Amino acid sequence: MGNYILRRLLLLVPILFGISVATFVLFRAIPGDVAVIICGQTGSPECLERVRDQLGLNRPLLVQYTDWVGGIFRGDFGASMLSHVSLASELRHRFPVTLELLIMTNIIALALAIPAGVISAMRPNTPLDLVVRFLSVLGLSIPNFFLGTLLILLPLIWFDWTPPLGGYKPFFEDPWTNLQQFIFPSLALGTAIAAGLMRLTRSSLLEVMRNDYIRTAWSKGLRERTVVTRHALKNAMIPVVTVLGLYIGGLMGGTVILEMIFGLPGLGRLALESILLRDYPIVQGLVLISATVFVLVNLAVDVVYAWFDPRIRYA
Amino acid sequence: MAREVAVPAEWELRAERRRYGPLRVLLALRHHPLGVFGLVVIFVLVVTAIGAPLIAPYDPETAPSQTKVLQPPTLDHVFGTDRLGRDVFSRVVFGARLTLEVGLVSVLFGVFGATALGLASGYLGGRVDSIIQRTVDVALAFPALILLLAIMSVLGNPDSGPRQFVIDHTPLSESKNINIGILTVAIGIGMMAGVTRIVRGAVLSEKQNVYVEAARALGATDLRIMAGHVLPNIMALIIVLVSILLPVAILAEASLSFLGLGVPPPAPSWGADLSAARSWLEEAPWWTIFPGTAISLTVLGFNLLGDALRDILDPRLRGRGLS
Repeated sequence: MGNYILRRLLLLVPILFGISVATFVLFRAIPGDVAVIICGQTGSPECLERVRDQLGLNRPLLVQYTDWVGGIFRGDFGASMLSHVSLASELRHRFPVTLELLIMTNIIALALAIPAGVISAMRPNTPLDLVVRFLSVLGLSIPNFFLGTLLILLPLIWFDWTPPLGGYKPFFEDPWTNLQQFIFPSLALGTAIAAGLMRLTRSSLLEVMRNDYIRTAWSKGLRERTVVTRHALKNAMIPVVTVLGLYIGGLMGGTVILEMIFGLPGLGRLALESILLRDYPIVQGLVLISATVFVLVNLAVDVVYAWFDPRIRYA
Repeated sequence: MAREVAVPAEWELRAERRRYGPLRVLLALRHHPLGVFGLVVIFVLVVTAIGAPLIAPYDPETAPSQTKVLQPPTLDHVFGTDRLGRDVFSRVVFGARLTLEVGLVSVLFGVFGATALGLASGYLGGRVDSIIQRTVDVALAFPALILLLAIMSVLGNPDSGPRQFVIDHTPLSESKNINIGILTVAIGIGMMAGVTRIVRGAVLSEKQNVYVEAARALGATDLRIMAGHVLPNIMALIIVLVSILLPVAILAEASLSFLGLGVPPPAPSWGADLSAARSWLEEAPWWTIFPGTAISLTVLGFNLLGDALRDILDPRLRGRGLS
């Protein structure tokens, strides 16, 4: 197992190298750069020249690349070319926001998906099952930005109240406001995931319930509840966990949208703003970080796999 | 009785292939009522898209003179009007056309490319396989939306520099230079990596079959075996993939347009309209509700039909985390 994890971690090296080159080249290929923003669209050539010189944008690409990568190895992820705030300090402020959003999203998704999936698998093809399944397809179909907007609009119409937009309050400062700020975007983001996970839980549980050991459990006279939770669910969770890992990648895109709608100062919003402003160092750093997280999450998923199913051995 | 067992091999093959005929699929749909519902939704959508100029009472991009802006739904404007006095119903109708165009073309582009890559990767193996698969590794580790945003800001806007913008309330993009064709290609490229991997897997298992060996023994070239023998046998999988990916592509278009890096104004994109309507949520909820419902219904229709097709054509795909 230790060996396996080590090998997977080593595999991270070429992937991150590829990502770093790809982002670097991709964003340098964008026409227009920060200098245009600093000097304005009609900025004089001298101004453009001076700014590019200052920021080192005139150097050969290879030099700029090695400079950037070298910095990362020294723990320096670079700084915004516009505000000169370092990525490290942006991360310190914004990471907790995105992390809280992701955690709440996952809690909501799992809390909705697993009970719904179990109920629907226990009574397959009953009206209840059909309703749950239809709701799940519906949940998959409503785009998160529309759902997010509805979650602002509906309380506005019904109660003349909206969740607080903007003016982010950290959890430990003002837990009540903080929860109000996060519950709605998490719900908008979690619904689609819950829908996907519910379908998976259902089909996976249906498959597990056909196994011999489940029949044995029934014939021992165990209650339905015990059979499902103790015997079936643990095995049925294996594919669910994998897919949850895969969803994390998609979630990062979702955070961009919901942080924007709900005015949360998180990493997604930073990424969007930096892409639009051609703030290379920030975008490159963010992409590299999210790719690392994605690969690590997938590794964690494979490890959790083995924990759920001791038959799985990694050599 | 025993004679019936001895069916010549080619008969069985033919029977296998006939099971996937379009008529068979339609007939099999009757056991999937939700799939039929999806089909009906898509049918309505396609009719709307084709007949948009006949159905829409007004021009989607310009406001008729003498209309009030942000007018609630009336008989004249069944879905109300937007901030510029344009008829929301006409925009929703023309939006169907844009959505279908971008969705279909991008998925066909992406799946076509991915099928070629997956065939090459799975069938040829060796160095081709490693190069393609390592690239796929990198592409899959990229956050998808960020990749799309990056492609769009690289390619979408060839002649203008970066734009100043206010993140909160104005639409991000005022530029009219973003090209719908490039948006379509970008979405197609965005979905290629994952599909390449799935196609490769199918090709790897298909390659083991005797018919491949037989074709090779008869002297068929690699290209001919890939296109003429392996491809037809993974066609069911590809059709299912197209149906799964269509709603994904439609959502991608809407999301990008919502973020201001998709379809530029004044084109009638549902996503872009939702984004613009966000600032007038309180004054004009209809402007949000109708385009949003249109996207949701469309995606719902494709999801339901896709599920049914997947059950009919390729039950092995059930539960893949693609959607």
